[in-house]
Amino acid sequence: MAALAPAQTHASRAQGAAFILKKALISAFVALVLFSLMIGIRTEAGPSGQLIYWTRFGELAAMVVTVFGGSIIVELLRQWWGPVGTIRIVPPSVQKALAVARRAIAPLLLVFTFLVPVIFYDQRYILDLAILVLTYVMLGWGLNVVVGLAGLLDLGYVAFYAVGAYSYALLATNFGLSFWVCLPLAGILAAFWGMLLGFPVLRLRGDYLAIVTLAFGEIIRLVIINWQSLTGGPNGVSGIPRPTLFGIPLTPGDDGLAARLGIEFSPTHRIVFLFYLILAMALLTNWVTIRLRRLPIGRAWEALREDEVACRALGINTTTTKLTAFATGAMFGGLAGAFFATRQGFISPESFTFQESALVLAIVVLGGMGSQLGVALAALTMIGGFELFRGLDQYRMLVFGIAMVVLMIWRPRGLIGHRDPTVFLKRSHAISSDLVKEGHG
Amino acid sequence: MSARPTTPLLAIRSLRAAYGRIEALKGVDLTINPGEIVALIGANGAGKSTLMMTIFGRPRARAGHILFDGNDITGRPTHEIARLRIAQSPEGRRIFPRMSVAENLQMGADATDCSEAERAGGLDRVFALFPRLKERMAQRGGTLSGGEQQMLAIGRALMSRPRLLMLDEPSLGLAPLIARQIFDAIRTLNRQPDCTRGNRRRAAAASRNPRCLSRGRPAGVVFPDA
Repeated sequence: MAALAPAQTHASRAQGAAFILKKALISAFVALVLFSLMIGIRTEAGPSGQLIYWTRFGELAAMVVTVFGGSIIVELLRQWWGPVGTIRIVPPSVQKALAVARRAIAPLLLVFTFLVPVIFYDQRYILDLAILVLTYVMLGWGLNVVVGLAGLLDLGYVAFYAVGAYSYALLATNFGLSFWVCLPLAGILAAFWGMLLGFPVLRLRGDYLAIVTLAFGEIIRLVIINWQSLTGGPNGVSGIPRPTLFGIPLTPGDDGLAARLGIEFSPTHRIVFLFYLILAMALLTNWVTIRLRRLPIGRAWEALREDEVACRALGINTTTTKLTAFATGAMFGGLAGAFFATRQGFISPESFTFQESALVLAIVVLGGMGSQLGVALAALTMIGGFELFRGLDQYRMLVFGIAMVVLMIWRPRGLIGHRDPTVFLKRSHAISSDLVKEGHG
Repeated sequence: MSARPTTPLLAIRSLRAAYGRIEALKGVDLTINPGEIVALIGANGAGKSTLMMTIFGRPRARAGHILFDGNDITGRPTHEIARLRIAQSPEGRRIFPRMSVAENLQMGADATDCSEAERAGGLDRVFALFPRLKERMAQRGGTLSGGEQQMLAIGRALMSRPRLLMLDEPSLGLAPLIARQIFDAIRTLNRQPDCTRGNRRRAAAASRNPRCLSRGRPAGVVFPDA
């Protein structure tokens, strides 16, 4: 027996080598077929309109060799790592350290966010990027109510973003209303449209719901493009007023904030103000969501995500539950939209394409559906990471896509898939549910 | 027992219900008195689950009447019926897998407006009946065993302090020993005041009064040789 064992492993390893080689050869062949036209031949329009083409066999060969080598490396890595789902024993000390890190990450992140304008005061680019990230954090938290908590797959979230942005833009430019009056109005209008979307889709779930919401997002965009007399069509709305600090404008004039405070005017003041404005709005979204999760309505959302039939059996009004989820999510989208309009000063339908919906949805899914911290981290990675890869030019999307695929393999439930219970009875954490495998109670 | 002057808790008169064009209930009559355990038995497709769901408002009754405590509740929406303290534990348990046991129980109390004291009282009652649930309070529902999930489903339904508790297939997929525990609990509950429940199949042994359904019609009364 003892003598047999090494021989057996040796045999399996040899068979493994043949298998790896075979797999790599197949991958290389597929790459050859695919890239022979895509990379092997380059075409271009000549000076008089005729087609010029030349061959690039060197690049083609390099690509095929890369695929061959890459396939071997991936296979070796997979063998070294063992089968997917292998349970690895983590030493308790490391576990404890991880638990501390997990608890500390949210407060640390919050403190750091508050200090961003102080640290990066002179770096306009970073401040702008931080505002953008925070806008997506807020959008992600808003969509998280609909998708993460209530489990209603919404592919048209950008519609509410657009409704909020246009509400503020049109109210401000046509009636001269201030940002602080328009902000709640934009939220209410977006919530109203959320209810309007909610009614026809009450009976729909999953794929069907996704298709209808996708269509809804497009309808809003097309209406905005075509209703020229109201929205300005593809030209958009320009000259949207900048926000004021409760009536005090952030301008270099005599009545500006800088003059009143007796300090020298700087355009960065407005950026810093916008930063804290969106931070406050995002934190409000987070706070409201956390509070709602502990109320019956929030629990009903989560129960709806888990099992709609059981919800009805318990006498939960599924109609109001769904409509409030849509309305709440839409309201936060609308508030973020109003902020977007006041920050940009100009909006057009181009800002509200399906790509935005997909991006926000990706943030929610990658972050771990329902996890507030996860969504914030995902927004930071997606938006910030996207900027980080700017140097990679045309390969940016490729790197981005690979990163998303890897993340979904590594953490199929998102960055933070853990869900904290909201009901506590005396002792709260007797057994961490993370440690118990499903179905093995 | 026989001379009961009070109105029946639940009275169903020639009830009809259908899924689209398929008629599942073709004129069902049923009376349940306060304090009774009623077992509803019948073959697959006889309409047992449909009857329970029709009492709960979905699918809507096509014809006939459902009287709860003398009041007509036919055609009322589900959430209003739940507020009258009729509770249901659906077939296949259907607990919320990612929510903790405590949250699952809380969901049962949420549908009816009950005070904090009533909620605490309800919890105590559930934990007295199923001590296992108390141990598992912080655990996710999906991590419980089948029997514990059934206990949770019944406990969840009990949280609304129901006057009528309807259990659909409470022993489905359970080991005989666990099923016995469940039915013992049902008998215990019945001895407490202000409780009536209908259940079925194996519950025939727990009930003195099983009713049989056949293809959507009542098919006489079956007495088990208990």
